[in-house]
Amino acid sequence: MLARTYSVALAGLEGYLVESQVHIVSGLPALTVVGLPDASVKEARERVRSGLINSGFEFPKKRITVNLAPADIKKEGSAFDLAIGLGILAAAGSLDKERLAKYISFAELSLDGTCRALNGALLAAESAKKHGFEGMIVSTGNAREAAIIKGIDIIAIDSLAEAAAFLNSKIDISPTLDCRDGDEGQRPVYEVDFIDVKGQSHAKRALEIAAAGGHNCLMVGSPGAGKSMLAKRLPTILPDLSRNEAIEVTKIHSVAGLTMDRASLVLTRPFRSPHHTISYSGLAGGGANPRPGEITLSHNGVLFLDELPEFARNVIELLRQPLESGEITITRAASSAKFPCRFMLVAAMNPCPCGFIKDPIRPCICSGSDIHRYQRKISGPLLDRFDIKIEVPRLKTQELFLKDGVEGSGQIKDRVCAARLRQHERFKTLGADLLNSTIAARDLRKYLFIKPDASKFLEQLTEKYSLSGRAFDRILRVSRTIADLGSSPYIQTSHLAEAVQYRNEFLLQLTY
Amino acid sequence: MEKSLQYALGLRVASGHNNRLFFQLVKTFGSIEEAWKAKTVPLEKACKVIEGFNAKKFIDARNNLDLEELSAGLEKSGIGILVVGTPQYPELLATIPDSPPVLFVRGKYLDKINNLCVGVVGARRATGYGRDVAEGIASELGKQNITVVSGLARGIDTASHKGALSTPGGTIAVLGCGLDVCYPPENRKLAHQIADEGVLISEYMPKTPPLAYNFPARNRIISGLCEAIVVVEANERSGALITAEFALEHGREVFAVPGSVRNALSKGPHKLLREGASLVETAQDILLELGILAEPVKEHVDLKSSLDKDEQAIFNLIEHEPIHIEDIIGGSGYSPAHVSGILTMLELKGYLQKDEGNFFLRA
Repeated sequence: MLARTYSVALAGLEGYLVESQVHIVSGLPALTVVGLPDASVKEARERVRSGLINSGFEFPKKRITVNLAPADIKKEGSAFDLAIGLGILAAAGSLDKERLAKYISFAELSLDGTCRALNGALLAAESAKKHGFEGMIVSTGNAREAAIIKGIDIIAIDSLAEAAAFLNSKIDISPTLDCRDGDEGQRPVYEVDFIDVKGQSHAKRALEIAAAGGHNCLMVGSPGAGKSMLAKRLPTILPDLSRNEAIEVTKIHSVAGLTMDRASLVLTRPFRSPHHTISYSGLAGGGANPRPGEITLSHNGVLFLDELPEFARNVIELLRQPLESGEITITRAASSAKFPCRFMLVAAMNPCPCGFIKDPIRPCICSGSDIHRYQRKISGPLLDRFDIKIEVPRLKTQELFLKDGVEGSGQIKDRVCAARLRQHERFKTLGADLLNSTIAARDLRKYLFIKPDASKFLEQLTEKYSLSGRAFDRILRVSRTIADLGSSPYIQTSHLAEAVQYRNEFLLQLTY
Repeated sequence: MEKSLQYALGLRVASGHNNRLFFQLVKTFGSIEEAWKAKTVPLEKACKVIEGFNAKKFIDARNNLDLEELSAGLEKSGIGILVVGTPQYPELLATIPDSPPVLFVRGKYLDKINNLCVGVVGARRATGYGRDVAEGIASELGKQNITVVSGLARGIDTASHKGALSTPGGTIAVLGCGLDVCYPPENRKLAHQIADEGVLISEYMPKTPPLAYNFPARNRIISGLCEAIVVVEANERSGALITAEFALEHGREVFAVPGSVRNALSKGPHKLLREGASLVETAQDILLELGILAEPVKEHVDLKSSLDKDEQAIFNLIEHEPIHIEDIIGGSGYSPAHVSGILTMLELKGYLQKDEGNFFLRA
């Protein structure tokens, strides 16, 4: 007897349909799985056998063959357990085959017959909907996540027995609903706020501009100045994720296994801060079956590299391509996957190895060549990537006792959102979600809107500072964002003048 | 290369770069040429007279040396040599007790060596103030056709060389390594500029690395070449103070530029001042002391455009000590955006300059 069940496997950030064909014939009792299963899929045999028996079903003492189609793609993981279990029941005649064919089965089986949640439920649900299935049977742990996808019934079960009972219409399980349905205005909740930061008004202004235009930002300062503290609060002033963006982020987090305890959609902007010992594939993504790296985990959010010079050179340099294109392709021998990675890059570093060269209080203990070697670790092309570079000083002792900062994230965020709206309006004919920092140079010129006196001022600046082509470009972008924050359709002299203060081209050449 | 120079070169190498030995051999045999060509027996006899002389080592070294090849190689690299006792050798330098017998030189304007020279030296980890002052003094001295001498090190030395480039006086760099070794690496371009406009000098054979103990020795040459030494910023124990010591030994004038009492690098110059060095505020002080009639230096009056109210308010907060932008924002009460814009305008108008990072001070 032959039966078919359906499941979804993940490759990168896409799900593809896997049809489990179960065939039972007379013969020596055996259970064989074919279709390029890897070790954990082969182990499903044991889980399914015990799971079935402990659920109170009889395990057919016959020759059972399970084929996971398409047969030429390598199958991995424990996602097929439930499908195989249900398939065997169906092939043995204990399950309604027609009803079974309408559902995707997506859960791992335990030996006692209970079902466990998996990574990637959101992608599986999306895939299920795409292929026209009526519903998806998942473990309760995955139900709320899967329910984010509308237009498909999410059936939450705890055990194989329950799934079988449902499919045989013995029990009724109503589809899980997205709990956010009634409350679309739900806003993200952050634990930190800019009001926590005392002083540092220059740095806060710089971050406001960075947030508004999506500009990458480099902070240089002595240890304890507050660079990490400031960086962590950047997501609080970024606009809320749109629904599509939120789904993208949730999918990525789902595949990475970060959504397990979460109710549903990720609403907060991702903030990833990998340690500087991270490897190339940790940052870029990789593994035999490509998994998202830190750059993808920070998609639509912020990637914060603290202690930038301590990162391995090859690891830092890999950032250049993703920063340009917003996506990364991981190629392996058997497969390749494309991951999105559009993030805001924020980095922090000390000005010298001990960190205190510009500190007014503590003396620096580094030798000239120590400093030179340390600063050389950041290549010119990498420095070029940062539109905004600032120096963050340590607060003087008396400032530590000042009251908290004056403005909270809420107020700053309002201004940022207003500025973003202007960019959206301005660039809407060119494509989605373009910002002053990401728009192509050629297009930027067209949309500059700069008055003649400001233009003249720009010439003066170019001469005074011997601006290179890239430096010129950066000042224009930052000025355009400053103008947007000031609700000005035109770039004025004052905007250019302010933009100059975020240049600090020689921030890192402290010894010459 | 002339034969006489070649002999000096050979003698230098064969005597193991031991200056004392070089001179003693010349004294014993009468001249450089005769010392170089001395036969085995007289050399062995000389061992009794010259302490620590190993004739065999000398002879072996001499035999292993292909003078023609060596000198051709030097010429190809654009390196010449100066030998003590010849007219090309700097006069002042010849008067010091242990003047280097052989100097390696490279540069288009060797005659600068016999110009009036003043050394401007100081700390490697100099502050913006120190570098600025050094560059200014060097520039003013250079305009009066005084050659500025320094050591091509990071910090004050670099600023001094830069200030003197493109002036009539020009600049000389004395290195603590071979002329073909670029140290520090960031000064490669500067070294080329100096070769084009002045001279690079070294006591050391090409390929000699910048070993730490070379530098005090090199400092005596800086002092030896100059009529006066100016110390701009220095730690209490530093190379610059060693150079000043030599200057005193050599009977040269010592000048020191004072600094902020909060700056550790002022300790060196202040120590010298306590010990009697002359205080320098501008190059004029040096010129007067050396008795040079300076060309009247026109006061560089910048007809600066006037400042508006806001700019004036910000400008009043800025001193000659660097102040951080955060303090300016706090002190003025203006928004960070406004302050940033005004600071740029003030910089363009020439009222202030920016130190690395977000520090500002009067121009």
